[in-house]
Amino acid sequence: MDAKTAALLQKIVNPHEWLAVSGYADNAVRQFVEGPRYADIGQIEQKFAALVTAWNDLRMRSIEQSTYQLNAYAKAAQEFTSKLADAAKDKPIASRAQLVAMWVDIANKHLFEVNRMPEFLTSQRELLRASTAFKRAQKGLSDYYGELFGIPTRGEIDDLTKTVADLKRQFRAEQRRRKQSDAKSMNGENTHGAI
Amino acid sequence: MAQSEQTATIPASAILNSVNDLGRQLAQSAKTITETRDVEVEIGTAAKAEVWRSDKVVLYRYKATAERKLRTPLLLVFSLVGRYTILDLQEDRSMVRNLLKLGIDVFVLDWGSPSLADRYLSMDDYINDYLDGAIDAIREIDGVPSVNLLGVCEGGTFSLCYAALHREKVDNLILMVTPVDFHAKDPSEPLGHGLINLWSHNLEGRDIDEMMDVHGVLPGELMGSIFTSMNPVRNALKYNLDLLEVADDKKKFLNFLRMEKWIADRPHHPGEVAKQWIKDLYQDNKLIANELALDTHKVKLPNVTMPVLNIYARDDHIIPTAMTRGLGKHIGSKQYTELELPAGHMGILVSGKTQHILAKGLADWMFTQQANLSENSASQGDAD
Repeated sequence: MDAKTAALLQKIVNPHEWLAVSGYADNAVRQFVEGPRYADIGQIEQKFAALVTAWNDLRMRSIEQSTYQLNAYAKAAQEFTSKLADAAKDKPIASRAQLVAMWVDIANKHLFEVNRMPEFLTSQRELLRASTAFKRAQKGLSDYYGELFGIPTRGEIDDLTKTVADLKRQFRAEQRRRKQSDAKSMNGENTHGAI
Repeated sequence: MAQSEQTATIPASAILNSVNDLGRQLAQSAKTITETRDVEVEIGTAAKAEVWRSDKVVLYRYKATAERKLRTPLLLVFSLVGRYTILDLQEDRSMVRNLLKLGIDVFVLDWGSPSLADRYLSMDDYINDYLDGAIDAIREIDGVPSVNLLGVCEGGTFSLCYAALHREKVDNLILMVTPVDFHAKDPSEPLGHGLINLWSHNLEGRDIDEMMDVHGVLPGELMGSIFTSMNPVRNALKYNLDLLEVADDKKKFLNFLRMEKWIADRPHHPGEVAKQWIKDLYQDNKLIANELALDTHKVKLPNVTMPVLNIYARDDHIIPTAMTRGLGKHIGSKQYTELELPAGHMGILVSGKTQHILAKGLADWMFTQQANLSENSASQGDAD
């Protein structure tokens, strides 16, 4: 077998490849995103490519999480079937509610076990990071078009929000200070010190 | 062969009856579902009036339904994660109505629905500003120097911080399913408990910062999916099997829909609060170490010197009991009581089993504190 065929076969049987969203195109897009940047060309194309890459990563992480869960469900189904067979031999399941409760207990147990596996936790963390990266890539593109069309960007709105939040905080503090001062005056206290 | 042995254990008549029952149930369910209108599904309907407001935060006072028996008014503070309406979900599942019937003057704080515009609000704003403003308003309206403060879940943690920083304004502190020691763990707790701890410890501080930076808030939908993942199979069956169990009975169906309405109304968590909540508390456990800073103020638990009632749910999978119990050794109060209720995290408020135990337990404890205070004042007077 030649080296190229061997490499191809390896890719075909590698589960990681099955999770890739756009197959071999992923790497080309990623190379473009992570490659050098030029001042006057490819700016917007790079933002689009960054969004596509982030989306692909997010999809891949999401599929990875679903795979862990599907495995847990498969194990649960196996255990459920076997317990059902045992129950049929000893004491038949008396009601639908009993049957459902049995399934819930078994399936929850397998899902919770998976939830605590180090590989699952790594995948969960990477999924959250991929989701943040996707949102950031979206923001990069919307900021670009915001500037192009003269619409305030999210960053600009955040700056204003921060200013307003700080001002409101000062305003509320001032209101409270005045109220306390009024209350002291009403109680006959001299708020002006020794005059 | 194995198949025929299994089916032989269930009599044919039982199978036939079961199929007939299911058919009847499905027909009645279809009728109930198509005839029910969303306007019939009301929650939080106990009569109340707005008495104070600051930005999106509103303070309501419930209309009394019995003669007032407790001098000090009670303020209810719910979490930012859900809405306070669960405290009065429906007429026969309402902590608020039960307390009113026992002669308690009840106020509730509604945090509103934070949006991106509130992303920079911090725990300091919520505790030292909004909560303090609401308590001052009650003191002014009712002419009392202090209030009884009851916080639920995150609202309990806020109330605990408040009591440590403004103890002169809190007569008695009641905490309900409140996380206090965020790293406490009971090795015997069930596998599905404490998954929020697991989730938050699995992340680094920078993950939280970056998430809040891009989202601005901790989205309500994300919190919703985390809660769903804590009881995944039960939730997956909710809209088929569970619905089938209740939809042939209008009363049960409306109960189901009221809970759905409450769950759907899941507000976003302001970004700054979410950062403090996850990083300072879940990850770094600063409250119990007296290291939690709200602006320039450090929350010192020994300053909590008023009587404290700590209510926890035996089957709480969201805030495992280890996280909420054991507060007594960290606070300055010598009057610390724990009350265990047979329910889950929110079941404590809406389960049929806890309806009368909860309100009665709360009221009895507050009446006892009032009596103790009167007794102490009388003996103080005699001594003078």
